[in-house]
Amino acid sequence: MVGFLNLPAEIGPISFPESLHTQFEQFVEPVGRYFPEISHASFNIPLALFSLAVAGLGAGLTYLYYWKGGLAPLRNLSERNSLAGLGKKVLVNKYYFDWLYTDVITGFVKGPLAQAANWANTHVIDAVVNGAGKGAVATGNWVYDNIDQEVVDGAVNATGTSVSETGGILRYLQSGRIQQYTALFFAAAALLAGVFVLATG
Amino acid sequence: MTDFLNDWGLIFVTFLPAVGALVMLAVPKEAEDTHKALAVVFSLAALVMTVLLLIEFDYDAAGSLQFVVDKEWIPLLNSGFILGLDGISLPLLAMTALVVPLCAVYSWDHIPAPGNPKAFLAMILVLETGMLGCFVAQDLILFFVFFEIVLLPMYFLIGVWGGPERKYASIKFFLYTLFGSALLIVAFLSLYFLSAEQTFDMRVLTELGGIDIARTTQILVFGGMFVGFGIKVPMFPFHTWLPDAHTQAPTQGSVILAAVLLKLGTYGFVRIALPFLPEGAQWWAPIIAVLAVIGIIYGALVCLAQTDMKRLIAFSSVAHMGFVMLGIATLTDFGINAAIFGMVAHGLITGLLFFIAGSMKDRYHTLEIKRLGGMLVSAPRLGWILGLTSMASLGLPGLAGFWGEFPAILSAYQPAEMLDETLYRVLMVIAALGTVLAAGYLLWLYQRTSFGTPSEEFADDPAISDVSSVEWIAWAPMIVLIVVLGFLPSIIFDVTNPATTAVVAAATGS
Repeated sequence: MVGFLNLPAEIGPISFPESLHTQFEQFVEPVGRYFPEISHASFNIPLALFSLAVAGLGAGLTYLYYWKGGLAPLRNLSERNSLAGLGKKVLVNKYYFDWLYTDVITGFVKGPLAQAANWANTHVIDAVVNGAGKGAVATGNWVYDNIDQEVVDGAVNATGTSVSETGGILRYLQSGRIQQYTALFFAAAALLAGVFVLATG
Repeated sequence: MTDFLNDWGLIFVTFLPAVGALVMLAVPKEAEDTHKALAVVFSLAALVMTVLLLIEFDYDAAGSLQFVVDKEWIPLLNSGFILGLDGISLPLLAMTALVVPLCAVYSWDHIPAPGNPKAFLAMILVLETGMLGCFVAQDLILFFVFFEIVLLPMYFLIGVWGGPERKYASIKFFLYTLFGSALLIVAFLSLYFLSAEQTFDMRVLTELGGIDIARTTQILVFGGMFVGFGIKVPMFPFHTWLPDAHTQAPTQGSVILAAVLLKLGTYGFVRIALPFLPEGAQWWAPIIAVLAVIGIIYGALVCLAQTDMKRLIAFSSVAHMGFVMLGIATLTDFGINAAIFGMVAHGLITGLLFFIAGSMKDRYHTLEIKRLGGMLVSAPRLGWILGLTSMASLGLPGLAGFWGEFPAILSAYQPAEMLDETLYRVLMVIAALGTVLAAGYLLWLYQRTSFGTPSEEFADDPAISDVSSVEWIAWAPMIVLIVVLGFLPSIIFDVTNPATTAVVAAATGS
């Protein structure tokens, strides 16, 4: 029907009324301004006649076979001839298009392919993210144990220990007498003043 | 009124929800209905202000910033309190201002365990201020502050009111997006120090268009933004925080996450990355386009393998945001218009899908797809709304989703002049295949949840009721908009077009 209504404006000397031709082509013409100019094939009379002849032949054979009971040699051919049997099987299965779409393409996409993508998402991409998180925690633990506690805190503790040890030695200087402290203070001040004079002089 | 809106409109819209949260702090926790009412009132007040702005907006000058507020803020950092609204931010501001009150209404009888509406709704209001602020900020530091504000409330929404794996999901969401933010702030500081004006003013940076920044530097700085915004979108392969966050978040959190939060990333690309660093954008565009298309196919394939409805919808977001990013990566006004439409359409459609999923969880106490079924029998209205939303999500013409996907695919036919046309056309074909996969997983989901007869487990369950009046109120505006925008896409395209033309001119020098 669509082919009929899409008759060209004229075939040779025969012109068709506008209501009979190019009824649908405007619906499939791209209108986007980005689309390049599209050229159309011109109407090909031999090709159109050949197509019509093939369709007509099919209709004729069908008429003879089913309505008239003719073409007797073709009856039960698929049971006698393996090639014809194969042909019938292909036709019965509608060229295996449904099998191709449903079982092969759709089945593969929603089955193994989707499962593989989901597996990759969980075990590869997300594993990298989780690995980064675990790696950061492990690094933090290592830094805490080996740098913070051993080196930094170790240095602080060592300072504390050394101060404590020094204090232990210095405590022997404590006498509780103000005069002795004053004398020590002034001696230290005099020593510092001497160092200062030597350094700046 | 015009003067008031010019001076105060955007300030009121942005901060009314935060004021609402402060008011809620003064009300005792036990007054649960008062808290629910306050959340609805303050989020509705922000919506009313937005509607007034929509009325006063000069649509003939949609390419220029309007209702500009320009005040001194942190002189030490040379950062100003600058707000403004143009055709790019307007649809996103409107969508945000609409979605939050709908969540507040929905919360009237859907406060997730462990309860405490005061804290739950206050978090949502603070979140709203952060989101609205992002869409109107015109200073990079101010934008970054709003961009970060949204993290904390969402972290608490997932971590406190989320599902069984909420602790893992919330910390993953927070750390992953914070990692992106770290790169973003470095990129922003680089822009400040490298630009001739040494400013965070986005208006000036758009005008400068990276003129003082060497190409290699632009590429590096754009890389920082690419990761920062790409995580938020989220683009493949930075997407893995999203399914966990969505699956564990309470319904309202999922809705806001899908409807608005993801758009902060795509908006950042359009508003900041493209116009500020045009040469960087041109170098990164093909990489973004390839990753976007991988996201479309990959997201769709992973959807087909999901057994949990919410997780399936989450992965569908990865695929849908791929279309948005493909549109942006064409560096054309056509593509960016499609991207902005896609952001709004995805916000409405996926937001509604998460609302429906949440209500189904309330009724069935599970979202395991194989256990569901027969919803058109047991809750027919809910089933039909899920059907309509699924159709919209798969891009059926006549519904909003179509205008988010189809023009984005079409825009890849002719990307900006400096981009490889052949590559983009190949990507266009692959992206188009993604729509077929989308139809596959969404129809399959719909078939398994809604067709047939209810399973024995739920056949006589009195909890399987149809749509409640609160749900109708919360969902009706979204349903209406999905249909209206499907038939009248020019409502958005007419607003965005002048502004995207300016962005493209800055990004491509054309």
